Amino acid sequence: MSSSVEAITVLSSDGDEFKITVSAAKLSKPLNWMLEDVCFSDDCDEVPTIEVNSKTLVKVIEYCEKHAPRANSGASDSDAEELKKWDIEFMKMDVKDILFHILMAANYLHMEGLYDLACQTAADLMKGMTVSQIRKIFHIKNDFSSEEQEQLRRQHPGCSFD
Amino acid sequence: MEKLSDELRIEILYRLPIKSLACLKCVSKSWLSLISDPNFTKLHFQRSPQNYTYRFPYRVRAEHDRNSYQQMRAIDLNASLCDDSADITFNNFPSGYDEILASCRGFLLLQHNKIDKLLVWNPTTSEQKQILLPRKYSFELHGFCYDESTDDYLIALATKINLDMVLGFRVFSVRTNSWKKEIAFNCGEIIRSRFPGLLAGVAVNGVIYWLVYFYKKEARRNATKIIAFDIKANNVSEVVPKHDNIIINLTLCDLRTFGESLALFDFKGFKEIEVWEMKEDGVRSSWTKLMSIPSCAIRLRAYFSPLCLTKDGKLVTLDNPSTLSKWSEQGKEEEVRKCNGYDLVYESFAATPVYTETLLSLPSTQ
Repeated sequence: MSSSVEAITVLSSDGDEFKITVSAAKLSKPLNWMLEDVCFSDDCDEVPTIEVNSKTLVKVIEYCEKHAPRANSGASDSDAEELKKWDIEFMKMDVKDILFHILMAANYLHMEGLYDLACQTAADLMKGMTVSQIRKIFHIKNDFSSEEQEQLRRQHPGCSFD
Repeated sequence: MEKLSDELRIEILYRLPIKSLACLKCVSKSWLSLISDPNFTKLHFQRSPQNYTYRFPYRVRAEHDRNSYQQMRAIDLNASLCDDSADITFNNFPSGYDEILASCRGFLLLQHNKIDKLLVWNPTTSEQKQILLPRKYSFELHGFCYDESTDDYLIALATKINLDMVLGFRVFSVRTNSWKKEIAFNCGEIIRSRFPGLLAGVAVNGVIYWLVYFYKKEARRNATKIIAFDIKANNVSEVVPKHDNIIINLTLCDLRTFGESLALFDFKGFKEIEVWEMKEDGVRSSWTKLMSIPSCAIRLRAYFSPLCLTKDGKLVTLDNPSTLSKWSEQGKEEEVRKCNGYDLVYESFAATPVYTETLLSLPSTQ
């Protein structure tokens, strides 16, 4: 790999091209390996594919670019504070539509920070959900009989079901 | 990449508090069996200490009858004391058991009012196990702890034998559902009973500690010692708390747990409260001062008793029968919960244990 390369091009699972800086790509182990394996000189036209859809990949790259400077150099407490606030804003997204995809991508790309953040965000969102909302976001069919359902309602008076 | 894998779903569940998990059991049969699985509940307990509550049980008296209790509730000590919406009600408190002796990993040890049996009960899952006491057996010291090496819950009881100088310890194993052989420990002094009766032990990492009161005959004065029962090694010894080679005076003290260690509250004749934390390296114990609350902050109260240190390092105390206070590290009283009249009565001071809600289950009897 030539040291002059600052950004690389990758393909999403939908076939769209994305640019990611080398320092940002280093946040992911598989991407890092890719950097070492793939030829990035101008006369080489092989573009690696990442098995993540375009909508999700945009967000993952956005996260990497934001976190890369701190991950590579270390940062002051005020930076860490600022980054935390950014993370909260960044995670304001639909659970089923995108958050779960980010979680799967973070798992696939071995990105510990994003993985933790996505898990915790999902958990925090689920705390405020009713049982039927949970079923909806996880695509789960209610397989309890109506008698069992009644019994569960009695056993868990503190839970909201609908 | 369409549906979340089981592995990722479980990762999210690990980050949820007990209250949410209880509701998630109602989602489907597979979620119910996953969240009830002992392997899941154990890992959840180990992995997410931040999601666990410290709860303090109390009784509510019936409005019209001062002598009967209406219900049992529990306060979340990590939440604001003034916010009773965090309280929970025990709808399923086992009848006949009127005393909470101790707690361990979400299980409460209850004593039957006929004193012939004990009950290990998880108020969160309603799981329970009854333990019959040997015939005509009574005890003065009790402790309840978990042995990680055998995944067993153990109940240690002790009674005075032989001229009141020897303690006889009996241990019940929940896993084997049996009593172990009695162990005698010679204290060398006359053991005094402490008002109001039973002496609760504090369990930390498989060791149960008691503050035991003695009468030194030759010196004609009272003394206090820390007696430790190591469940795994099956032996009893005395622990002498020392800091910079100076022995900490135990005359006015209380023992409590603080996270994974033992905390000693030294009242210094009510002039101030010093809180010491014991760390053990297997061979010797070292004591470090955690906080010191100056005298000006403490109103002199007869039944002032520390309950626990919260996750954010605040000290919660109980002033029998009806005032809970939360103190900052600097000794400032930050929150007070007063309970008026007869509608709210806490358990006898120093006796009621703070417990943690868990979904853990008892080991099955072999």
